Amino acid sequence: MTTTETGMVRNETAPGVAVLEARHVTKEFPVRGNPFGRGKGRVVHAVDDVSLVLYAGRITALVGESGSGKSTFARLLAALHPLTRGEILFKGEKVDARGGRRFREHVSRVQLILQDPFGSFNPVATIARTLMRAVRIHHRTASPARRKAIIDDLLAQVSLRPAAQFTQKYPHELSGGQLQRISIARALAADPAVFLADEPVSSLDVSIRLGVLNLLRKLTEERGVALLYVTHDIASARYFAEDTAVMYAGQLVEHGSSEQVTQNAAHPYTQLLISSAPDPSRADENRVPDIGQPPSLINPPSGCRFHPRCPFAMERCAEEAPPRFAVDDGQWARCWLYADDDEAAAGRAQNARLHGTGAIRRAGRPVPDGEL
Amino acid sequence: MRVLLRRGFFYLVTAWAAISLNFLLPRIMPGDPADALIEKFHGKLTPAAVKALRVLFGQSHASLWQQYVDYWHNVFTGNFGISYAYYPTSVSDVLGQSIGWTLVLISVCTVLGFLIGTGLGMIVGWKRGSWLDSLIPITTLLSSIPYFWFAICVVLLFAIVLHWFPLSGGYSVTETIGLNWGFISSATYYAVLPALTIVVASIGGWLIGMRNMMVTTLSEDYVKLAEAKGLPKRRIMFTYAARNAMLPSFSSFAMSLGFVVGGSIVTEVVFNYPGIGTVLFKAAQAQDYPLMQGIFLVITVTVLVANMLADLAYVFLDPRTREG
Amino acid sequence: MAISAATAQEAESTDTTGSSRFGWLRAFRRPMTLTGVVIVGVFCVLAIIGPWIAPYDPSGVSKATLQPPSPEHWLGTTQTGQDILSQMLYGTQVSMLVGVLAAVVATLLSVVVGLAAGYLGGVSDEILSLLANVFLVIPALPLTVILAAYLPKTGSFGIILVISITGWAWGARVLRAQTLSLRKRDFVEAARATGERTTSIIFRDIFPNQVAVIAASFLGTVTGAILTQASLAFLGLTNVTEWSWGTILYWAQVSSALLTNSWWWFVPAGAAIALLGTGLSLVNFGIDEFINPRLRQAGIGTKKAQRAQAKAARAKAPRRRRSEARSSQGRTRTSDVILQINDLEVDYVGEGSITKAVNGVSLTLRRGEVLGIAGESGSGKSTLAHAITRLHKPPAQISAGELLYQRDDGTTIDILAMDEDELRRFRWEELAIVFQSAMHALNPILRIGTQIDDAIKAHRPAMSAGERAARVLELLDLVGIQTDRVDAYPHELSGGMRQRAMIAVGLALDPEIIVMDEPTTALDVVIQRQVVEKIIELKDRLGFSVIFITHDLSLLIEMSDTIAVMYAGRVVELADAKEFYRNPRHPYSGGLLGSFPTLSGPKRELEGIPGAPPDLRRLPSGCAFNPRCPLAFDRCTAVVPPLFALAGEAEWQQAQAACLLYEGDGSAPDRVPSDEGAPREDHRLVEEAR
Repeated sequence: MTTTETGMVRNETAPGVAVLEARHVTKEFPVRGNPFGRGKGRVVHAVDDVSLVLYAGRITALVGESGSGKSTFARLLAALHPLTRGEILFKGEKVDARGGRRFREHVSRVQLILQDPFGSFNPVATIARTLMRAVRIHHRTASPARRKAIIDDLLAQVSLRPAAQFTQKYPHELSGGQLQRISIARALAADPAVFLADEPVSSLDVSIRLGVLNLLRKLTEERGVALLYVTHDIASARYFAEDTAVMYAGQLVEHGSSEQVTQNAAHPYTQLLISSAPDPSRADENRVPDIGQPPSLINPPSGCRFHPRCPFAMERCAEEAPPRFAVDDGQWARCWLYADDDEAAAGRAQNARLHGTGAIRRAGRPVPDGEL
Repeated sequence: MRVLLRRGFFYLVTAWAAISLNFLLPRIMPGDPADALIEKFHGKLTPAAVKALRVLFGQSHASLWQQYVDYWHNVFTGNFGISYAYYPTSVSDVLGQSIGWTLVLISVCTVLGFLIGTGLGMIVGWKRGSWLDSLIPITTLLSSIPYFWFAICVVLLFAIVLHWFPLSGGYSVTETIGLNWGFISSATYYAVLPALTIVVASIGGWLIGMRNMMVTTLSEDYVKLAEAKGLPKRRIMFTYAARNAMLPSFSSFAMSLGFVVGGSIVTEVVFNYPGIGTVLFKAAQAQDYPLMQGIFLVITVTVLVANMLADLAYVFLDPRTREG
Repeated sequence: MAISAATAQEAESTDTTGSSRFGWLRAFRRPMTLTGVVIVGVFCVLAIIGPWIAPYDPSGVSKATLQPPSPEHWLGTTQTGQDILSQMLYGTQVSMLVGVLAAVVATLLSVVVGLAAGYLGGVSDEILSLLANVFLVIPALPLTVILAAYLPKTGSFGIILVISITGWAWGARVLRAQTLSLRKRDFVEAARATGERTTSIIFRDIFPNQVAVIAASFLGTVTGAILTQASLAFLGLTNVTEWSWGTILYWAQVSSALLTNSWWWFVPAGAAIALLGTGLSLVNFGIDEFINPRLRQAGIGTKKAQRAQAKAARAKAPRRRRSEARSSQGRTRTSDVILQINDLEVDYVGEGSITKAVNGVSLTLRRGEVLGIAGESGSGKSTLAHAITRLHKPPAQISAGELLYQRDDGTTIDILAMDEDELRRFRWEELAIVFQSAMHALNPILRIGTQIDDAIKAHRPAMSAGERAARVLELLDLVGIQTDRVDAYPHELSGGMRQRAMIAVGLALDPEIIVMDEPTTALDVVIQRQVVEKIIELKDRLGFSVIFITHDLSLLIEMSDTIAVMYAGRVVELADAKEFYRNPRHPYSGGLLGSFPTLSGPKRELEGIPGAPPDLRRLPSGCAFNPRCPLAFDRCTAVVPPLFALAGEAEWQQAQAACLLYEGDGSAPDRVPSDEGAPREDHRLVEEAR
């Protein structure tokens, strides 16, 4: 515990320590039925058996397309929805956020930053009022003057100076970049140990994205906060996050260091994602051919959920969901290509030819369930 | 067609609620209207009628549940008791004689008002920003006028001052009711003024609603695209703008219809039109509770049916509602 | 959508500059709203002071029976010689009291039910909505009549109760829908994630955003309540000895005022109801326009823009001849040019201000070329797209420039000079547009096939239905949609398929140019890749030209032949795409390119650009980029740089940049850019500066 110049007590954690851990987190949303029973009991498998650890002072990217469940997962970590199965641990302790007091305790440690800065502020309230509400919740005992000082300090931390220039404004009078900084300030009011940033820059203009991302990185490093960076832009994950997890149809399909995942992707879906991203610096023109579209999450495909689109699909892919295979140091992929047999080896050879990464990869080692 | 099933279920629930409300009201109201009524007739009522009246107000020895079951039995057999305002005619007979007049008048006027109002609203919205916008305050004035007062003014002008149309009634007394030319032409002639009142007074609401939706729809991308496609103006106006702009009118049809029906009922009173409105007026004057109940049930069921038709039209117009 | 949203935002911020807190007061500035406020105000005052200023006792009988209006009795007298003016004044109080109190009760009910149903959701929502819908469908007046008939006729209290019971449902339904949509808004989720209590969210986040809707619903209910009270009184269902507007009409009817031709007896009461109702409705229009910016758009700026457009149309005729003459001279030199944009300017006309969204843009599009236009929000790129197709609507207007289109036969025509009929024939046949959101750009109630077919039908009336149907199937096949989806509605297709359908609509008549305004921005990368590849494949096959507009510079570099970068309404750099990627010249282009993370190759330093894109209404002096420019020097704040031609490799488009760094010797402030290209020293200067 340390104290900042304004006397705020900080949830500081030594770098590299696991702060927030999701274990087999599953979320199913019921499909709205009608009184005649049709459609009753059907569910959307939004997030399916996702395990992920966030470390102090470290940025983890969660990459996926719209509908992949990445935003839902972030909201599950923020305890905005109850889990269907699985558990969330904060510093090794199981999180139980049912009921107002326990929920507020959880959000004081885990804060969510939303995508659309224009939408995430009450249009009829000034910035000062919005921030004051957050400060009042998380600094119950502070005097009004003290709270004002805290707000000024928060705005200074997100490089909005002088604070007076922003506090009396309404959201529509500020730019997207400024508002997103204020969202970060609002999240900082709780002095959390974890930031969950759901596409924090994708609705901002390109030229100001870097500024916001750099601010998040600075806060992560200085305060030893764990940051989950949810994004659809895998290229930004490469630059911004140490680790990258790739999500497809509610499941994690690949995980590793960002450099491994972007430069030597193992899962055919990650490969498809990377070869689809616009990138003028790309030298080769080899692209993974794409067939089809993201699947329905009400009736997800059997076996591996990617198999109907996968150019390397084998028979077993439709039958059995693949386990995780460790393919490199710290990198794993949920794909049958990395099984240790002849058919998979042939698939890997074909993958190397089509994807153009050169060397044919070796078979992976199945990862035991408990290991991360 | 799951949507229709859903809506059908809703209307059943609504009908049940309305009919049950009708059962409950006399039982929860303060005071003792039954005695007052019996008093008023000074023993002119037959013992059977007195008993029926007591049953209506729940003054019977049967359990509430038994009363409720009996009540439903009566509803299904059309037995609403005896009317006091038209003593000793039965309520169902009074209703049977008047419902036809109202049904024809109101359905024709509602459809006409809707078509004219929506059509004008479409044009005013299409030419937004032009001189046509100055029509809005005028139509607002029209839609704020009480139907019955407008009716009085119409009577004064066209019947009393100009003598173009008859003052009141539904048909010339020299004709016999039936499907003969003389009766139909006479009924039509007598219906002109009431119809004019209802149509003119109801146009304003439709017009303004449609105009605003039209303006909103016209800034949609699909209208812009239709223009970019070089489509003829008429096609853009009807198929792209108006058909989409009309959809909310259908979903708020229920409220508007209730408004028109309410207004028309009072209008009938001014014209002494032989429809349900005039009967309701007489029933209210005479505190004829059985008759009022019967009227309320008939009107409610009719309005529910009309709303179902509007829902059907909505499903037909908007493909998005066709799947669950 | 992009443009209308931007326009709305612009209009909104123009409106609320200064005192945003009381911005809503501006709604009352409109004459219609003001009239409404005055009418309602007068009635309110009369309701309060009415009994004091009434000249007679309203029930007082006198010998002056059935007198028409006279100096003694301004509104005449009744059959029993009562003074109608006095009755009216007393009646105003009762009628308005009933109206307002009933509306207060009904509105309270609807707020509670609407908020609870909308925010709580689930079973409570189902039950409350059902209740509201039941009350909505049951016709109110007959129910009111029955209720009123059962109640003892003691006074207005029962009537108020009866009216509120039947009048709350509509407001509840509207508020529930509002609450539902507000609950899904990010700021409510953000408040939850901050740890706010539910009550605090409802009262601080949801409720304040509904005040306008609640006010509208309240005023509407007042009108309804006054009308209902009048109807009930007219039917004799209220206490007929208590003077209200309705009771006056009741006595007039009962006493056959019509037959005695005593028009003064019933005219004032009805007129008062109608006038007050109108006043309330007018106030409500003001509120409506405040809630729905699109309605406001129809009013604000429209007249001004229309006048300006009419003026422009008058000025068109002579200019057209001139442009035709000029273009015929240069025809041989630019034979592969299909569209020449010259000095185009587009203004947004606000209340007392003009904002230039596109400022002196000149571009050339060749046959078969992909011209990419890049820019951030407010750069004017979407406005440009709409201006090229002449789809801009007031308050936007083209104030200057030419759009010269060269036909196959070599003749040239100015698109801006076309009359409506010419324009209608020109559109789609020669120039088609694809919007960002296919979801919004396709008519939701027409089948995909029909929406392709109607473009063909409009332009090729000679084609038979069978031929057209065959062409529709051919087009679907061309863009990669299974032909059995021809009868599908837009909502039945996936995002990628919808965008393909949009492209099929665009290709229907084999246009020469397709303007694509952020066609893939709403799509995921994988689907975006499919669509972009389809566009390029079709372009190569069919030979049309593309103007491709996006904020995604990486995508643009991959697919364009020429790139134009826009900033604050101007083109700041224009170059071959490959050359642009190798060597961006304008500091803004460099910064933009440096902001994109790369996927392959070694990681490079990402720099970004300090500051934010400028507000078009308050552009910095000189070069609009100067406050954010790392290389800016003194003169950058003084001179707006024109496009300077640059030296260097180029396949076709000699690079140009609007930056003083490329100005000859740095001393001539208004040097005209030459075709020769700037001296080489300029380029080195930049490299040194970097």
